[in-house]
Amino acid sequence: MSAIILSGRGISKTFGALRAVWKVDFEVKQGEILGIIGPNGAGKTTLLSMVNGTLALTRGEIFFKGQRISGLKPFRIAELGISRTFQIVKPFPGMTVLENVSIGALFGKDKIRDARQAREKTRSILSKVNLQGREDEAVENLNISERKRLELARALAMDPELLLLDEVMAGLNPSEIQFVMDLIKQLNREGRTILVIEHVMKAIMGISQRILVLHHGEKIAEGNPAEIRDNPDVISAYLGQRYSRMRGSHA
Amino acid sequence: MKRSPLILAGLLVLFALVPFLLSGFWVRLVTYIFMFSVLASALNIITGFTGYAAFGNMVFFGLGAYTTAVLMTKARLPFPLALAGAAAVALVVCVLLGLILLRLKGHYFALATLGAAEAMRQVVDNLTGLTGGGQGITLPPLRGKPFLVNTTFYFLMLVLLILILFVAWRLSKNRLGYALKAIRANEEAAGVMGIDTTRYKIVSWCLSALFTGVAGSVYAYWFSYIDPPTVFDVMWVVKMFVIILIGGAGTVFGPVIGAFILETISELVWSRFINLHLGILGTIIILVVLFMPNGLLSLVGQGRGLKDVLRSIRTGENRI
Repeated sequence: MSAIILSGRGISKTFGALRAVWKVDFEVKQGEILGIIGPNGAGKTTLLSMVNGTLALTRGEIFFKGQRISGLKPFRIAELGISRTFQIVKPFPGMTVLENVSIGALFGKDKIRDARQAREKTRSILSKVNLQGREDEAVENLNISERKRLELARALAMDPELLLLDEVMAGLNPSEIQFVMDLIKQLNREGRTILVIEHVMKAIMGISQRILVLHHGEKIAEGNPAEIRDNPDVISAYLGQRYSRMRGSHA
Repeated sequence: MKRSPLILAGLLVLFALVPFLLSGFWVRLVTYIFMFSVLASALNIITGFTGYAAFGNMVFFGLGAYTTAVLMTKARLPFPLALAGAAAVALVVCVLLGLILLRLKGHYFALATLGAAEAMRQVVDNLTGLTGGGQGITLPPLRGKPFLVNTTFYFLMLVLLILILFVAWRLSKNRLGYALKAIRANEEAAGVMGIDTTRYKIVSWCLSALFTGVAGSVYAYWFSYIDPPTVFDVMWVVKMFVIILIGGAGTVFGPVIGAFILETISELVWSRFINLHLGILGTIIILVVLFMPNGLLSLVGQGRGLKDVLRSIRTGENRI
């Protein structure tokens, strides 16, 4: 068994009476790809935001390599080697593609002091996500697919040990999805642990070693893709109880 | 691009010769323009580069002026020490204010800084024993021939201007500058990417405060009389915003170009049509906003106009 790199204990986030995430325990093993799925509003993004510090926990604790990170500011967590992408991409307008990604190299885990050196490192990352040749483009001129890859490039420039991906494939066409899937698998082979939220079911089943299912903020299942596919609770969460019973009686 | 160092060197020689070529009136006018260039460039660091509309920046100007005046009259310190004292006071007050006010964003930050400046003015107004209150305070003037005095202050302001332009030029390409631009663009994303936003915002505002305070210090010695309504005058900040608007926010040379244009027009108009002064100024502002919202420099390079800054204030976010 490989070591646990990230773990959450009883983590909860409430917004008024709404339990966005409720008493979830989870563990991410070093070097794995863990997928998080669940219907809309299940609390997936909330969970990710608690890990990287953009949302404060209402209850519970999160540990990264044995260190308690819940309560730390996002920039501290980023420095420790956790980076994330946003579902609704957040590029820095008024800056070029190269400048956007350089920020990651300058302020991520490596903390490169020299802006020129950071730009050099950035070039190799841009070619990794297939954005080479777009270095000097204003980010406002990128299309959605390019913006998603820019988001990924910025996270990668921080040289993270743990990468949190929030729907990087949404809005992409099948060949672009295939490209991102291959990229994620390659990043994983390079030794990065990856936590990925995705709605494209074929993609997440294809890349994840384990999957965690959230429904109404609670964890309802955890296991490898095959187990999750056949889990009646998961099927009923996605397709309703009636369909789940129907399927059960036919089996 | 190769030509720009030559142009800069040429301008520098030209400005170095100004006191020897022009009359006292013009030397004082150019000194005044230098001062506004420094003030606008200082505001540009926190507003243009970082996206925080610091409407209360006169607090540092007033503090710089008053610290200099008090140190020179009560403690009888020579000007260089008083200037150092002014710089230190501006920095300390900025860190304290920054820790509190830089938690705010958009309108709230702008209003809070305005409040801080007004509060400081009241404090200075009421510390009669130290500051002379509403009566103002008279500093020991720099003695010598008018030519020598004019030239001294001219070069003091010019050096200050060169220093802040150097800082702004570094910010346009160094690590700190990247952090500020990222904060301006999207503060949450900046934090997620490892930028200690609070720290960099304070550094940015304190750079701004340092130069504003030192300019206030030189101003006090130059005019040798200060009172609260002058050195805490909020209209000066409005003027600085207009200067940045004309030249181009977030650019290195925009504030200087803006200051020269605004002050020259202002001087020509003011001396001839005293009643139309504000009207003509207002018309210029409207024309610039309508037809050149990103400032003059946007016509030649990448700039960011005050319009975007104001829009970001309206939406409460620091994105364009």
